[in-house]
Amino acid sequence: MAYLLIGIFLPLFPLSMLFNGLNAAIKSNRQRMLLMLVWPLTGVLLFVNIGGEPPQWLGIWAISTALLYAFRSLVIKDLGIWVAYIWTSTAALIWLLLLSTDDVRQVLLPAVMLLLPVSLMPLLTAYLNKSFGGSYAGAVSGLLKQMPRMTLLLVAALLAAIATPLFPGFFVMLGMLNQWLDVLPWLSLGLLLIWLLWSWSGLRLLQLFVVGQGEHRSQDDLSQPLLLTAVSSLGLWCLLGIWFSGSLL
Amino acid sequence: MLVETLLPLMVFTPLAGAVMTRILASRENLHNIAFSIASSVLTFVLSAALLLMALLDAPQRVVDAGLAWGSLLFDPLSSLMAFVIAGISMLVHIYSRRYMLEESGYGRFFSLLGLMTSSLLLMVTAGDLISLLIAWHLIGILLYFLLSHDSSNPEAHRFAGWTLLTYRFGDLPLLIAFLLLFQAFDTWSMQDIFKRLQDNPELTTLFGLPLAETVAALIALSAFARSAQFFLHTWLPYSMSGPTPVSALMHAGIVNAGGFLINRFAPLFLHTDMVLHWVFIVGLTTAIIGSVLMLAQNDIKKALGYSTMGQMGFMIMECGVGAFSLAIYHLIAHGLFKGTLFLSAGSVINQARDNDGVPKDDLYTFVVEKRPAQLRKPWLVMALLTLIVPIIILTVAHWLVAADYFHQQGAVVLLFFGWVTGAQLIFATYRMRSQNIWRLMGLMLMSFTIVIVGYAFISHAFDIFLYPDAVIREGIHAAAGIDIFWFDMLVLMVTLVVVIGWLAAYYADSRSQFMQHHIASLRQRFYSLLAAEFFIAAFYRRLSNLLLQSANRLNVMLKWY
Repeated sequence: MAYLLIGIFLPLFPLSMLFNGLNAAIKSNRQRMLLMLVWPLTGVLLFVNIGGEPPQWLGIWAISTALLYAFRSLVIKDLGIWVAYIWTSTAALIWLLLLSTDDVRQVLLPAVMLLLPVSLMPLLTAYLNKSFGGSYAGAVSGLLKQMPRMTLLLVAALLAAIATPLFPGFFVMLGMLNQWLDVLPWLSLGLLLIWLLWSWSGLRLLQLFVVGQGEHRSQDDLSQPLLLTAVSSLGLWCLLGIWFSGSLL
Repeated sequence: MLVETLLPLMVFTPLAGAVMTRILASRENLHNIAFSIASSVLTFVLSAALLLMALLDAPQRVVDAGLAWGSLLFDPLSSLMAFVIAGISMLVHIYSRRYMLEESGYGRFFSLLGLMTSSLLLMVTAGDLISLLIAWHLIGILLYFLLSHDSSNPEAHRFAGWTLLTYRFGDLPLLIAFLLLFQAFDTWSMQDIFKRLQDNPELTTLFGLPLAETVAALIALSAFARSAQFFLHTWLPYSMSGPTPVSALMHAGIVNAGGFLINRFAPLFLHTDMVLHWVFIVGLTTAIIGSVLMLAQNDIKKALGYSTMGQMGFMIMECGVGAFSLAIYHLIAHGLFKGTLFLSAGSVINQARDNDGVPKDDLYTFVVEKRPAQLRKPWLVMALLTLIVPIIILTVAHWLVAADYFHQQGAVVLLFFGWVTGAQLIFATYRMRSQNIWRLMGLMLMSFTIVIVGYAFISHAFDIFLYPDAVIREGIHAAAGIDIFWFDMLVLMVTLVVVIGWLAAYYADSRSQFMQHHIASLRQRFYSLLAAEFFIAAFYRRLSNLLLQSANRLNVMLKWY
C-alpha cells in the first residue's frame, strides 16, 4: 500500500495520471517546473521513510509506465504536454535506480542528472508563450527562421532530455542498462525501447517546431548573452556528466 | 610522445573550429568560416603526419586521460581511416565555402561539419567502448541536422528523420554488445578486452550463449544499420534531399562505417563460428538488391543512393568472406569515387545544359531509345573471355603474391564469380560495339588485368599494413572459411546463376510465343515490384502509421493524462 502512495510521486500508471492532471491544471509554466522538481523528491523521501526491500515486480510496473508514456509522447504536438509525458516516462525509471541499490544516497545523483533537463523545459514553454502570446498553441512551425537562438536552445534542451551523449542522462541510462542486463535482461530490452521511443518522439517534436517557412524573424529571440549563458550552462552540465560518468556507469 | 600530442589534437581541432565558427556565426560572411576551413586543413595535416608514422612502423599505443573511458588508439587502422576522413572532410569544407554561400544558416552548416568531422575522427580512433559508442551515437544525430539543414524543406527533414531512426535502431545492438563485453571483462578498454578474449575465447554470456559469437552478431547488426544493408536500407536512397556536400560526406565517410566497425572488432570476429557467414549472406543480398534497384530507378539521385547500397553490400560481403582489409580498401575507393561524383554533380549539370555529352551509339539507343542493337557478339567468345581470362589472371596474381593465398582465400573466389556475372550482364544487355571486337577484347583484358592484379596486390598490401600479426590474419580467414563441400556447392550454384543469367540475357529479346507471353509478363511484374522498391519503405510507413494511430487512440482513451 505504501508503495502505491510512492507510485503517485514516482509515477506508476494509472497513478501517474494524477501528476499529469495536476500539471494540466496548473497554468503557470514556472509552477509546473517547480512541481516537476519537488514531486519526485517527495517520492524518494517517502521511499526512504518507508524502508524495507521493495519487490522486483515494481521494476516491471515502472518500466511499463515509462514505456507507455514514451509511446504516447510520439503523437504529442504541444511542448507542454510533451514535457509532461517525457517527465513521467523518465521519473518512472527512478524506481529502477531505487531497486538496484540499498543506499538511497546513490540514487540522488543519477536521478537529478536524468530528470533536471526535462524538469527545466517548462521555462522554454514559458518563453514561447510570452513571445507568441494567445496564438501559441503549443507548437510553432518555422521556429528556426523566426527565432534561431531560441531554436538552438530548444534543440539542446531536447537532446539533453532524451539522454543524448554527452549529456549526463546518457551515462545514467547506460549505467542502468549495465545494472539490469544480467539481472532481468527483458527489462533492459524495455529500457532500450524506451530510449528509442524518446528519440523518435523528440525527432517528431523537433520537426514540428523547426520545419516551416516562418513568417518573419521575431524581435523576441533570445539575446546573444542569454544564449551564451544558457549554452555554457548546458556545456557545464555535460562536463559534470563526464566528471561523474565513472560513478554513473 | 609525438603521437600523444598529435592524436588528441587531430580529434579536437575540428571541434575547436566548430565552436569558433558558431560564436562568430552571427555575422554571416566568408571570413567567419575561415576558422572552420583552417581547422579542417590542420586536421588533414595532422592525420597525414600520423599516417606517415604508422607507415614507418611506429608502435601501436593508447592515449588516455586517466578516466574510465576517453582514450584514443593509434594503430594502422585508425591512422588510415583518420587520414581518409580528414581528407574528405577538408575537401567538403573547401567546396562548401562557395557552394553553401547563398544558403541560410551558413555558419551553422560549418559548425555542424566540424562537429561531424570530430565525431568521425573520434569513432575511428576510439580506444575504448564508451568513446566509440558516444561517437557512433553522435554521428547519427549530427547527420540528421546536416541532412535537414534547409528548414523550409519538409521532405529533407522527413527523410533525415528516417536516417536518424535507423541509426538509433542500430545503436542499440552495439550498446548491448558493449555492455556484454564490459560485464565479461570488467573494462571498457578495447585492447584489454581483446587480450583477455584471446586468453579465454570460450566465455559465455546471457542465457549461456557464447560471448564472442553473440557480441559479434550484435556488432554486425549495428554495422548493417549504419551501412544500409537490406531491410535497414530505406533511408539511404531517400536522404538525397540534403545539401550536396553532405551527400558527398555521407557517401564517402559515414555510410561505410559498418566496414570499419567490423574491422575494428576483427580480434573478436576471429573467435566466431557462424557470424561471418551471415554477414556474407546479408552483404550478398544487399549487393544484389541494391544493384537491381539502382537499375530500375528513373531518379538519378535515388539511383546513386541504391548504387551506394550495392557497394556497401559488396563491402560487407568482403568482410563476410574474411577479406577484412579489402573491405577497408573498398570503402576508401568507393568513398573517393562517390565523393567525387557528388562534388562534381553541379559542374556536370552546368555542362549538360550546353551539351548532354551522350554518345549516339548502341548504348544510347538501348538505354534511351529502348531499341536493341543490331549486331550481337558471339556469346561463346564472350563467355570464354569473361571466365577463363580472369581465372588465369587471378591465379597468376595470387601465385605472384603468395603461394598459399588462393588456398587461404578460397571464399574470395565467390566474389570473383559475382563480378564475372556483373560483367557478363553488361556485355549481354548493352551489346557494346562488336565491329571493333579486337579492340574490345584488348580493353577487357587490360581492365581485368588491372583490376584483378591490382586487387591482389592491394589486398595483400592492406592486409600486411592493417593486420601485421599473422595470427589475426589467419584467424579471420579461418573464421570465414567453410567446409569444402559447401564451398563446392556455392561455386556450383554461382556458376549456374551465371549461366542462367547468360541465357536469360541472350534470349531476352526473342520473339518466340513463349517469351512474348510468359516471360514478358513475368518481367512486367518483376519491374512493378522493383518500381515499388519491394514495398519495404511502404511497409515501414504503414507500420509507423499504425503505431502513431495507436498512440493517438491511447491518448484519447486516457483523456491525455
